[in-house]
Amino acid sequence: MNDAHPRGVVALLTAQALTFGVSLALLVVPANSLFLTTYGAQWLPVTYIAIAVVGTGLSAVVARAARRTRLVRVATVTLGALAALYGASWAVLLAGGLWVSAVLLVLFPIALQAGFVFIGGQAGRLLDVRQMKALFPRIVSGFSVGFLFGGLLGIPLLDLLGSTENLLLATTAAQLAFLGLLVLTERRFPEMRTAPTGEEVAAAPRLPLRLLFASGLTLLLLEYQVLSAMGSQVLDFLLFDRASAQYSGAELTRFLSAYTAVLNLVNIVFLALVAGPLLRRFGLRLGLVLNPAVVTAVLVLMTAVAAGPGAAAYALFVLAAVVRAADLAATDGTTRTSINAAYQVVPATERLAVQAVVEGGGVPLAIGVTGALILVIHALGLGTGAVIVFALVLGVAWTLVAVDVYRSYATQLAVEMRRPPLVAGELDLSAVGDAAAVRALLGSDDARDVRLGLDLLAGVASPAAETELRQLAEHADAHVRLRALGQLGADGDASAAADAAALAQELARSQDPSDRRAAAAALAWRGTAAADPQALLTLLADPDWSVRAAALDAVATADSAEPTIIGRVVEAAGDPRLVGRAAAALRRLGPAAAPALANALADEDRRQPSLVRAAAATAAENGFEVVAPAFADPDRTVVLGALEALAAADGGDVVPREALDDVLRDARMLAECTLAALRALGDGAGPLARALEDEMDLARRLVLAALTLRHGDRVREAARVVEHAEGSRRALGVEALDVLLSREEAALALPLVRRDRALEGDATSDAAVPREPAAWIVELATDPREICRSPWVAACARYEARTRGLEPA
Amino acid sequence: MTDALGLVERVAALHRIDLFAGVPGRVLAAVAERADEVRTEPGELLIEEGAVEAHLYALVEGRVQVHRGDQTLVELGPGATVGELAVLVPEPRAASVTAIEPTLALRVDKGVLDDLLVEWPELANSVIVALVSLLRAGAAHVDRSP
Repeated sequence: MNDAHPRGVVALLTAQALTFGVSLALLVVPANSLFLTTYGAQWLPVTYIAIAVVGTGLSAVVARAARRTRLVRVATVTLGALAALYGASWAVLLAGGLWVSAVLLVLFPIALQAGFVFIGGQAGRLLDVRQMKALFPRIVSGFSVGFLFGGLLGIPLLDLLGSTENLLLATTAAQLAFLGLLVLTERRFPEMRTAPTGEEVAAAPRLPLRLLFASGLTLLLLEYQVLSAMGSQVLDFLLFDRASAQYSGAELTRFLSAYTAVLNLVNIVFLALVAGPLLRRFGLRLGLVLNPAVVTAVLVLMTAVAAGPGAAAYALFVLAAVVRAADLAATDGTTRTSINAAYQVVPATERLAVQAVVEGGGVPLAIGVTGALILVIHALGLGTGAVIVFALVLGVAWTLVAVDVYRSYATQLAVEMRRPPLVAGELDLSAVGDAAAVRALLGSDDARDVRLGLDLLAGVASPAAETELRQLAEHADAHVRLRALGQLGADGDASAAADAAALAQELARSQDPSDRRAAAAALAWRGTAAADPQALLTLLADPDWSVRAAALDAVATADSAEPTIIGRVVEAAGDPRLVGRAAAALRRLGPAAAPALANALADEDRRQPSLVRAAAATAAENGFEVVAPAFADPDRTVVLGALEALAAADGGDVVPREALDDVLRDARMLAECTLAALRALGDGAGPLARALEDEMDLARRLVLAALTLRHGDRVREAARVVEHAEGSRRALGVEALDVLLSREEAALALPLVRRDRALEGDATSDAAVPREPAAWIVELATDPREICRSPWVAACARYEARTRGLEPA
Repeated sequence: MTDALGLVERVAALHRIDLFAGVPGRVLAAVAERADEVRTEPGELLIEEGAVEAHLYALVEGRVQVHRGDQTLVELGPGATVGELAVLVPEPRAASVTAIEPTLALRVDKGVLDDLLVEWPELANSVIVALVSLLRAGAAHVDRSP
């Protein structure tokens, strides 16, 4: 569904937001009018505190319900209850109960938050994270249009219905329309019902609400939204405070009407034209930080104006109006969208519960605290300047938290992409049954069983082990004897060590490779002592590769003083069968092996893939210079081998930034030219087209390897998700790459990972300019600009030239 | 019939084999260089039922008949392979293959592949990927070899 019907989803959710906006506008006008007329503005902060108390309680109920049943069921009950409350309030007002206006005022922010929780929750189920970023601002714009429309509708409705109280009938009708559209959305998109039901949630591990916020991201989201709500509330207060200082009576009413219209118009324009492109271009990084940063910047100006000499009342009033408009536009345009997108990395079963508590509980609480603090500031006799400073402190804290939210979101996204790690554990044979099994092996008539038993004996902590070893030191099988003596020698028995050495020398002269292998293995038991160099050298040069492999395993740090041994190990690294063991031996030899390895790699004729892999693994510990010659190799597969081996050895830190930049530039050039050639050649280019596809794949692997080295395995994991996953999980993968990489890196990597037929941005290589197929074939066959630097592509191009009857290149 | 195949043509023929479909041409060229061209006339036996052999054939030209005795199981033409998995794990051939037209095939021996698998990790990786795909697609339908 995610890809097929986003338009239908957006249309229905926008319609919901529109009716939601109308109902709230028709709630706030009569509620404010009746409350201010009856009780006066000085009691407004008290309603803030009431909002905190009632809102927190209601949000807890909604969150609990959300954990037990479906989203739509919770939304239906809540929206239906609100409609019933509006209708009942109308009846109470008609009966003279003006106190209910306070209830309506308290209900307003709660209904506002609940409505966005439900609309955001539906969008989260029906759109993936990329669609959310692009389309949610459009949905929210429905609310602004509805709010504007509801406000404008108030005056003619007042004339039509005859009294302010009767406006609540229209409020109830709009609320019922919102509810109807929500039910219709569920019917049109039944996948919303696949959200966890009560039974599924009950079967899943249930976390207490306090544990929902144990993770960094959810706690930061709570902080962000609390600070956002406090900031907005203080800005709201500042606007009314400054407006009432500037105007009074009918003038104040006219200003507020005009300002509300302008406010919503700015909001709509920002949502429709600016928010979406901004989020697409700069992502959540900007989406989360824009609002607090802009608010803080204007508050700095206001603080300066307030602290300045002379009457600055009008300037403060203008700035208060500007900052409130900017805050509203950014909240609806970027903040809500970014917060909803950030919630996508919270597990689906917990998402709504967390969202309901954060938006439905955290926000009302913040409003209450703000009301209490404003009352305190007034009680202390501090003026508007103190409120501005208070708002500025909030703005700075909000900005810092926004940066933290983004960092935590990026980390959480990477976690979401990551596969469960394999946990390597020590062999533990402490169980009684295991020890018995080892002893049974040691008592076997088959020497192979006894050797296995000896290998496992080290895992059995038993005083009887030494007795068994001494018995095995007399075993008929020479290999068993050698292992038993070697193990006793390693435990400190000098006599056994000497016997083991003598037996090993004898086996090393044997014609049987398995004897020589055993002799080589015995060299590994010498602990930290240097080996007899000649014995080790002989075995490292053995004609049988398995003996050489065992000898490589026996190379120890103590051998680093022997250049001839180092030379043999470096030589072995060129053998694909031995590269793993040779690389391990080189790591044990440490820095002493680095010059010999670098020299070998500097010789192009010796630069086999296995040697490159060994050098890269060693470079991770001994510096980039060891593997630097491989990065300069014209054959990109050599570069790729070095990058992948460095990444496997966690060697990202040793690679200079410029070296990776060079790789990325070169890969981009290859991809651009290859794509241009493929487009020009069209279908039917046979082996040449296939060779070019392979070059594209090579470019893709180079880019991913370089970026993995620079940013860690998270890049590869995200790329794997993009390549193999579908729907919302794939979108999360794209989002993860977007977050992990810089803009330039993402512009290069994303099209390659998605296997698009074009890269983003202008071509960076002159060689990629469009040309005729024949010109491309000649270009690829001769490769004068060293685009592909591949003898295979050149061979395929010459074949294609002959097939098409072109002048043989 | 075609003269001796060029390297590019050999790689193109090998690319049609599932086992090698994902191997980059520059790597497969090493396999192609060491593959043998086998030419058979109509009626000539390419594979004999019961023989334990360790090579595969990629048919480049002509047609062959896969049969048990007189019973024809299937006829194969250019692009088809016989004995694809035998090159990895040899087993007695389950049927015979006889040319019904002048046929040109490329033969890849297990020894060649074993050597190259050690030298080219990319080749090993591609073969593993191909094998997993074959398993997923249903091994019974994949190895059309006798």
